[in-house]
Amino acid sequence: MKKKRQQKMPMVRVRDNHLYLLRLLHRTCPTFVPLTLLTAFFSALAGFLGNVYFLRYALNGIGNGLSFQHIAVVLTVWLVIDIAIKGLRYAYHMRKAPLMVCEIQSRLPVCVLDEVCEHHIIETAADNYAAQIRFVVATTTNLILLWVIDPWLLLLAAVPLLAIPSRGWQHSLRTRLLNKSERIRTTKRTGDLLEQYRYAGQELRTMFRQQGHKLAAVGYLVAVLMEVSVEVGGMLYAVYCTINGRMGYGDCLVIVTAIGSLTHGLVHLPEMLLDLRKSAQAIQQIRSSCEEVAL
Amino acid sequence: MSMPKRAAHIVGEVGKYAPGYLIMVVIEGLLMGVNQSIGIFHTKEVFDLLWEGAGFAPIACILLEFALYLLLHYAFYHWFKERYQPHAREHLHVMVAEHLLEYAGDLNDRPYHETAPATRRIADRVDQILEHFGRVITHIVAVLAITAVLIWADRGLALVCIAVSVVRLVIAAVYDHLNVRHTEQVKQLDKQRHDLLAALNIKGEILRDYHERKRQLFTQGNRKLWWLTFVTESGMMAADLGIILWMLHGLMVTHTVHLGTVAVSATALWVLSWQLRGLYGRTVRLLKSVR
Repeated sequence: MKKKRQQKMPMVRVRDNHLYLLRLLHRTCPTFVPLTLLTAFFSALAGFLGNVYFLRYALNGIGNGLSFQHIAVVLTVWLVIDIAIKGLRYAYHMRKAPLMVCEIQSRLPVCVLDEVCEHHIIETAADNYAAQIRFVVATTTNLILLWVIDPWLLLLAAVPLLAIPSRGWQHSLRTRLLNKSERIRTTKRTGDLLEQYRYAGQELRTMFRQQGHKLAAVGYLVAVLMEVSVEVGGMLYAVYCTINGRMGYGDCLVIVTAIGSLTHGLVHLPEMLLDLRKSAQAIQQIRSSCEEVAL
Repeated sequence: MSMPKRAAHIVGEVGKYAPGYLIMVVIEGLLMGVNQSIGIFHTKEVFDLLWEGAGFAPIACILLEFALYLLLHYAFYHWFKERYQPHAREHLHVMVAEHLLEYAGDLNDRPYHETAPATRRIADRVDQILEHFGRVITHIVAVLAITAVLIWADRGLALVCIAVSVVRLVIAAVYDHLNVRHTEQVKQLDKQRHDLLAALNIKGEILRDYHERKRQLFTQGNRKLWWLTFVTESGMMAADLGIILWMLHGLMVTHTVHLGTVAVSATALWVLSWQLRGLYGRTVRLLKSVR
């Protein structure tokens, strides 16, 4: 008998549930969401500046004739600012945010408290929102940087996006194989126990032999599109431009990182949306319980 | 039997029942470890040639060589992960079942679908141990290979990177210890809350007490964790900048360093430190999984 497929929650419901949680969080602790989003924004911005922008600045500076002292002063000032941002971020995440979550939990109706605490619903939702902000900041900053260095690089950054459908196909085949293998393992059989193990093992091995090469081929294609094309294609183009004087050493060093983080965010966007859907399902339970109590 | 011995014993047993699988796990571990240093090695070569004013052809040759390496590496990796490993795991599962039935004869009377989940759990545990074993090999090889590349680039750079990474590792171990203790306390408190709510006889004061205790736990426990994280991360960032400035000084002022070494120094400390941390974490997980 075929199992009924679990129905997906419609996007409108996902949005409504998240809005419901946001309103609830705003009522119980108005600063929690804005502070979470603000720390995510600054953390993503600092990550871009530290890993990409200032590294580019220092290495380009060598070619542009900047003095060592000048570069050292700029990098040291940035270090102080970065340490301050990191310190505040850690202080918020490790000290302030848990206390705020405690505060929110203490104001929730008793009927949903266990559900909220057990499944870390507030923390998970806050992580989802922070991930979205980080995605927006990383995408925007890296897009601007690549545009500034050389707009043709955006074409190269688009290549890994071709991997998105293959990743989806890979995920669905993997899920199907997992379900099928679970069925094979739990099927009632007749005969000697060891024989049954051998028979099930043989069946599973045949399945993996037949389907494994498809998964391997698609995985390989995704790796070639996402890693090899960016790392080698990007470097080849950057080296060519650097030799011809159209790029600095810094540009050459950071474009692989910049393209990598830009495409990584875009390629993982479907997973991020899936996380939002998952947390919306958890919020639905709180919502239903609260609405029941209100009635 | 001590935990390392137990781990070695289980890995040895796997070697007896599925020697091919064990050999492939070791090969995959070795290749993944080497892979960590290949990128650093090529970055250094490319930037050194750029600095020396070499033309496009020699640099393109190095990059195409790197591309060929990556294509072969990914071909092996995906074949191993998607085709070979699931197949070998099932073979191992049958071997584990045979082994169990040999020692626990009374299981033979039970129906297959009842015993299968239990043997599956044991086989999964064995597989988990093998996975940790493979990753431990990866991290050991990665640390050695990265250190070798750094020594080749600049001995002083290698020495500083190793020293800072070891200090970070020690602090990380202390952090993990404190974090585990703190998480346990929170879990214990949450369990009490769960029991209270389950008892249906909920009193406002009891829950107020729970929230207050939880608040105190977070206020006190997280202070130490915050300090440790802040000091470690600030120290790492300062060390990282110090290394970059030191290399830049060598390149721009004393002319003793090549551009490739400066390019490598930008990431070397984090990569090495991450690998050392990974080695520690995986070893702990490997030993825990044989308990």
